[in-house]
This record gives sequence, structure tokens and C-alpha cells, in this order.
Amino acid sequence: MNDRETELTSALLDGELDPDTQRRAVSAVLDAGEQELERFGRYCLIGDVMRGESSVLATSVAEKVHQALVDEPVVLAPLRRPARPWLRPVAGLAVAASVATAAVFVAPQLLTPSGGETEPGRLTADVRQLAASPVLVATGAPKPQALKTEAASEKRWQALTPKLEDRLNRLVIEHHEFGGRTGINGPVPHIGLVSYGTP
Amino acid sequence: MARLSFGAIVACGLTLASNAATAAGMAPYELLDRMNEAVRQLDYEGRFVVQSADRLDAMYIVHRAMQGIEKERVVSLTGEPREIIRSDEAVACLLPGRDGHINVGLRANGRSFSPLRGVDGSQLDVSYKIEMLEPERVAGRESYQILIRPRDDLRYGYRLFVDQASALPLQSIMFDELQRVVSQMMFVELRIGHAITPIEHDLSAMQLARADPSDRRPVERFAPPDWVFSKLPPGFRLNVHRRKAVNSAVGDREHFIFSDGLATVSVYVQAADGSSALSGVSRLGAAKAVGRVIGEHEVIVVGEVPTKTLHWFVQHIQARSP
Repeated sequence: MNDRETELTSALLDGELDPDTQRRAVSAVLDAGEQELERFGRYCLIGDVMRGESSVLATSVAEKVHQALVDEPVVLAPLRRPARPWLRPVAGLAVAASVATAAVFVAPQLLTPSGGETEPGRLTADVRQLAASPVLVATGAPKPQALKTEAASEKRWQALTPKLEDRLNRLVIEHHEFGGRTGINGPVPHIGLVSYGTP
Repeated sequence: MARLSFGAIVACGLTLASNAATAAGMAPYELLDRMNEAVRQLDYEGRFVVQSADRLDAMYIVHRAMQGIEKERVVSLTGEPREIIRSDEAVACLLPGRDGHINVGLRANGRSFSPLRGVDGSQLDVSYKIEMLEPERVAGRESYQILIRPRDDLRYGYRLFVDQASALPLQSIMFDELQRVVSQMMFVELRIGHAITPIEHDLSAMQLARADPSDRRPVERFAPPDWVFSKLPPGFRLNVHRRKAVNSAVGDREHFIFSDGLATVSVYVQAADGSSALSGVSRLGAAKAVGRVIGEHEVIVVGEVPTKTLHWFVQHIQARSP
């Protein structure tokens, strides 16, 4: 299967193709041989699973996947000790508690109102001040009104039609994938796609 | 009095910054380069919070790198369950709130351009002023602190807290020309290199099992573009041009990637689909998109940069003369 046919297959799964192109894409899959056909089937299955349409089969496949990956090495990772089932609820609670605690303690800092409280000339190098307040990160006189005006004129992704939203999501994925991750915005380039799913 | 205090504290701050740089024993560029490698090459797992505008979310991430292939899973811990899986074949965004809808994109793998790969200090100096500040403690770990200030209002600034042990970014604050936070993320818990949860221990991670390292589809990045830019924003350079077949109705989509050494901007051009063209500005977290229809084509510019920079690209693109 060549590049164009692969792209067509991807678009077929995403429901992006018109009827003629759909037929061409299906033909390409059928003509590509058993391996490609199996791959296409796997993609379809994944879609079914995600839509909750094939849970029994998915569980079976997942078990096979887990089994197949038992011997896969983890980079720099020691062998995992057998899990103690009775610890799981405790661990779950601990994780939930740590995240909740983090949210409780971090939220007031992160969500400190930023408008109108900044002073011109506050310090760039005043580390503790900056860490405690996200308002001012460098010197200079703030112009809160200008920022509010810009933000107010921008629609959130969610305000768009589903079709357009999907297109933008794909473009953002491509942007991050091919633009490369630098770590400059954190380790995950796609954070926005999962953290801002609801307005 | 206020001016005197201000000057004194600035002087004190600069002294601290100088000391920090000395203590770090490395140039900021070197640290950025290390961070760039660390986010892609290390195994890590942790929980972090993300803030953009008035929204705060908690997230979980597990990232593994095996033989140069990254696998990653990011899950939202607040609101509706949402998830991103980056296998070696694709990036899948699972948004259950929309009837199990999945956005899938191809992985760039070796084709990914990284503006920080072998970071060019001279290019960064054109657009940013970079300095080391006093070390800080984030997520229980000691970190170097880097302040990256933009030299104009066409890009954002950053305050980074980089793990001293691993060079992973523990906290990142992105701020605009008004020195106000655009977005930030901060780890509250991080494990590196050992005891990492296998990504595959999850149903949705089935996609990750489809490892096929030989699947490196060539990209027509050197194909001559049909569109040109009459003027670029200062500091930005074209790094990548590629084409992608969309469908028979739309044909090819051209993708330009520009960078100033830190920030990247993508410009997409394809035949307009009248019913769903983007007009004006839209945003998702720190990412913004600006759309414009030129004749029978639609131009969409995406990036984590100020809106005026996106508009610059939209306004200066034109079809190449035959």
C-alpha cells in the first residue's frame, strides 16, 4: 500500500471520504494483501471498542495484547513485583487524595485573579513572588483591558461545529507531531486536546 | 522610595540569576537542549495540573521511549474522561463526550521537526532574552529555573523549571507581552526511569501494540509549494513544508511549519470546503487558530503564539505565480 492509499485508508476510517473515494479506498485495502487487511481490521476494531460496540471481543483482544507484551522491556525499569490486590483500593485512594490535595493547594495559586492587581515594575527576578502569583512574570506595565478584549473576541474550539472542530483537532495534532515537542510548554504537546474538552 | 526599592531588588535578582547560572554550570541553551532530549527519550510517569485562562485540570501521563520510538498515554483526571494515546503508528484523541468520537492523526516519528534540536543560541537571541534564575523546588525535586523573555510582542515568553536530575520540565509558564500568564503546567508527582506503569495495561492502549517501526512513510517535504509568504514575522523561518492527500474533493493539503527557535506555527492550505471553513480566531487552551478563505482555498494557521502573529501569516500568504 503506497502513501496515498494509506492516507485514503486513514481518511476512510475517519469518515472523511465521498462515496467514490470510499470505494477506491476500500479497493486499495482489499488489494493490499492480508497484512494490510488485518491492520485495517484492527483499526476498525479499535473504533468499535471506543464506541462501546465490541466490548467482549475487545476484552479478549486486550488480554492477548497484555499477554504479548509481558516480555516487553521497559527502559530502565526493574521487573515489576506481583501486585497485591488488597493494596489497589488503598493505592487508588492515595492517588485520588494526592491529586485532590494538589488541586486544593495549587488551584488558589494558579487561579489568582490577574487583572488590576499588578504593579508596573514588579520584578523579573523575584522568584518567590512569581511562583506564588501567575500575574506578572516580567517587568513592564500591564494592560489588562487589552488582553480581555482579545480573549473575548475569540471563540472556544467547542463553539464550533463538530465537523470543523474535528478538522481543527486533526490540524493541531499534525502541528504538534510534525512541529516537534520541545518541552517548552511541558512534556505533552497535545495537552490542550484532552484538558479542554469541555468549556 | 519605590524606585530605589525596585532598583535594589533588580540588582539583587540579577546577582541571584548570575549565581544560579554559575551553580548550574551550563548555559541556558545547553539546558534547553537537554530538556528537549529528555521529554522525548526518557521514561516517565506522573500527575500534573494544567491551567489556561480560568480553567484548571489535573492530568496523568506515562511516557516510554523504546529504540527511539515514543509511546505515550495522557488522561484527564478532571471532567469527562478524555485521553490521548501516541503509539508508534498514530496519535489518537479519545473524546468520549462526543459519542466515543476519536480524532486520529499519523505519528511523525522520525519526520518530526524539533525547533530545539541542537538549539541555535544565535537564532534564539534574535527573538528572546534568556537567563538563568535561582533554583526552585517543584514536585519535590530540585529544578533549574530559566526565564525566556520575548524581545517583541510576536511571541510568548516562558518561565521554565527544569529538573536538575533528569532535565524534564517540571513546570512551564507561558506569558504574553503584558507579562500575564497564558497557560501553565506543573507536575505534582513525577517518577522517572523506573517503576513506570506499562502503557499497555489498559484497554484503549491496544493501538500501542501495533508496533511497526518499518512504517516510516516518506513525506513530500521538499515538494515545491504552491503558496508563498511575502513577508515573515521577524525571527521566524520556514523549517518544513509537506503535502498530504486529503480526499478527491479537497486534493492535497499543504503544511508549512515556521519557527523562531522556540515557538512553532503551522500554516495549512487546502481547497475550501465551503460548509466548514474557519473564519476568524478560535482557541483551545494555549493553541489558537486563525482561518481565512482566499479564492477557492482555505488557509488555517495554528500555533501557541499571540493572535497577531497568526494574523501575520494569514495576511502575507499568496498563491505562487505560475
